[in-house]
Amino acid sequence: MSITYTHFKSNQSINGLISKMVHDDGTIMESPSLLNDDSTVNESRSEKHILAQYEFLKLVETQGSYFESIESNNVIDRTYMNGVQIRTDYSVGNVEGQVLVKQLKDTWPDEVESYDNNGMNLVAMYSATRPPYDNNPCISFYSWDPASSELLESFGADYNEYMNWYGLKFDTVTKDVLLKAVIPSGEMLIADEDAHNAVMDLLPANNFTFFARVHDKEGIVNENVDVYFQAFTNTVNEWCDDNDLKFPFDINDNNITDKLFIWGCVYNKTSGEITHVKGYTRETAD
Amino acid sequence: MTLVASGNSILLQGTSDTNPTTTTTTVLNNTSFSTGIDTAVNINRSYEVPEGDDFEDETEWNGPVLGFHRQSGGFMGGGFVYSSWTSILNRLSIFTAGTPSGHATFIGEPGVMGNTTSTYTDASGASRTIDALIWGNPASNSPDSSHWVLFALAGTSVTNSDNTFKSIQLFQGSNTYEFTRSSASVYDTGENGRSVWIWDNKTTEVNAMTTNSPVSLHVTGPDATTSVNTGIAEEMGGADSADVKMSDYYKNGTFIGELTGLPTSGEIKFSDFYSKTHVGLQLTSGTMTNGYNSGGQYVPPQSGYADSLSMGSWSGSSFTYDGDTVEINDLRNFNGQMFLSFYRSNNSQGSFNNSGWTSMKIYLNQTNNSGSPDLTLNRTSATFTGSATNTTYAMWTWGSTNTYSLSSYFGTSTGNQHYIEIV
Repeated sequence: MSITYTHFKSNQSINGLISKMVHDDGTIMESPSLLNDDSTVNESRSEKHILAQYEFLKLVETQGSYFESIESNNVIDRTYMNGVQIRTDYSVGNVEGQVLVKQLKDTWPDEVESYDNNGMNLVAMYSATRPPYDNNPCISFYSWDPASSELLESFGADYNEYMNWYGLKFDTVTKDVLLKAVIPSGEMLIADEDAHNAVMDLLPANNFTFFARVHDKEGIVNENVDVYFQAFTNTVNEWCDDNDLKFPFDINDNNITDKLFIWGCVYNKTSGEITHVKGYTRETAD
Repeated sequence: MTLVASGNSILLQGTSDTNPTTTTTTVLNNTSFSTGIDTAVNINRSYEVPEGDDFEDETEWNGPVLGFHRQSGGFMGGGFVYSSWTSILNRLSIFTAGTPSGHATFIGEPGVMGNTTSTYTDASGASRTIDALIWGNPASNSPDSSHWVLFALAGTSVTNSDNTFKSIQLFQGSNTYEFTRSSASVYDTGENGRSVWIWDNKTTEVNAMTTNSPVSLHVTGPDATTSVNTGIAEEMGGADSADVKMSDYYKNGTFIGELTGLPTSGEIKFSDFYSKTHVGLQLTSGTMTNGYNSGGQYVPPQSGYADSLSMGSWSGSSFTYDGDTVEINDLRNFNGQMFLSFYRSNNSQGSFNNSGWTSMKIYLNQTNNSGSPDLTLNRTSATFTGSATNTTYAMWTWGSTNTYSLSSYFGTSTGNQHYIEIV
């Protein structure tokens, strides 16, 4: 793969400057250059911007039909980190999912109105391997029904806009519950501009980017922020190498790369660093 | 931009020369002006008589004062003295041996008179209030014969720069009387809540303004410098092509839409293009009926028209673009962006160029172009995607900004109709 970038003056750009990418697959992309404060071209940001758009178009083209073929009420999601699979999520209608739903209903009957009225909801049993979670066995629950105002209020979550889903983390030992509020990138910019901008500077070329913030029942937002995005596998791999981050799985395993649909990173606000990189696959359950 | 005005050289291409700049006056306050008059005003100063410690209040200047004066209480009379006049008015010759005491000041300062819109926003964004714009025409018996003009703004220490005002222009018929800030004889930062500029020796102007009262007022700011194009192709499009010809520039031709003053055929002259600004062709227009897909956890929602997805519909006709017949085959919001694609079946023409149209106008939830578009997306703001291998398409995408969101621009339900123009 070969990509060539050039930056030049042009009256075909709103700011008089164009950044152009020529890909050896024949793709030609031009975009108004992103500028520094002194009005010179910020070449790295401009190139990252174009590459993200290129990757988005190609991912839609190459993966769109695969993900449209998945039965949304009967999926298995697998999460990879540090080279191993760390979690499996099941649709609540699956046999495996129903076991966990029963456990949720028995232990936390009133946390939500229903755990399984929406077939797209997902559950998983896992032991966390990274902050902010402890090592106790936990049940992860993702709901595709909007969170009730009472639920959001109980966790002190007060955002203007949410993605179409949210998560709850149930600690089977302490019985504590955490909320994972999933918000668009623009909402994160409003909620925590510094963290948003720091993350966006750190990430490789990315698109369909959104964030998740973990709230406890005291309304405290954890210092570890999740960010999710889509990008080429090779782009993330090179970025991990450049930043001494552990790539989440065996890049030569086509059974993973063919089903990969999203990347996740954990950003620690105190250290200002990305600490973990995760990869997620999705497929229809047998 | 715009092409050069009559009297300048105008070229067919014009891309390799330096575009000239033109300077235009920025008018900060354009308003009517009516002149009032106070027929008897004195400017006096105290003099120490030569013989000793006695002082006499003597008139240095007297005559009618005309113009606009906003406040009844005055600001240069009574107990207030102004250094402004010291450098304007000559010492009285009868007291050549005596010493002036203090500064000259109005006696019987004009009250409220004249009328104009007294507030304006200066070039730095500050609100300014004109307290006075008056001129004095000395009487025949006035010791000092100065013909002066005074401009006072509310507030002390108002910045003495072109941002505050570059000049004061008064108009009456074909007569223009202009007083430039930088040529003022006096700039006084103020002693009574005002900042004052005075022009001295304006005999011609003051006499004329006394005879023919001004009826309008301009307060001007810093000059605006704009660049103009020298080349027809540079302005109208096709500058990246070596073989453009005059016949490409008929109205509603290859590059230009409904532009007044140009022929649609026959004789066409370089001079037809003086001072013309490009108006794009309307390439196509029509009604888009949007489909909607709510997406999934990791698939963004989208709404609009996408032929490849059998989503929505589009009523617009095919049109000529970049030398080939194309049609819109994609117009939707997706992943927080707006997508627009032109498609042609011919895959042997080479990659499309990112040029040849100006903007897409969207009239939400209506089936015609009445009123103003809800959103205009300029091609030059978009990211363009083409291909050297699959030359059937050209795509433009726009991201959301802080003034509009494109994440669900065409709605979250199917069947809404929107009128679209590509110009």
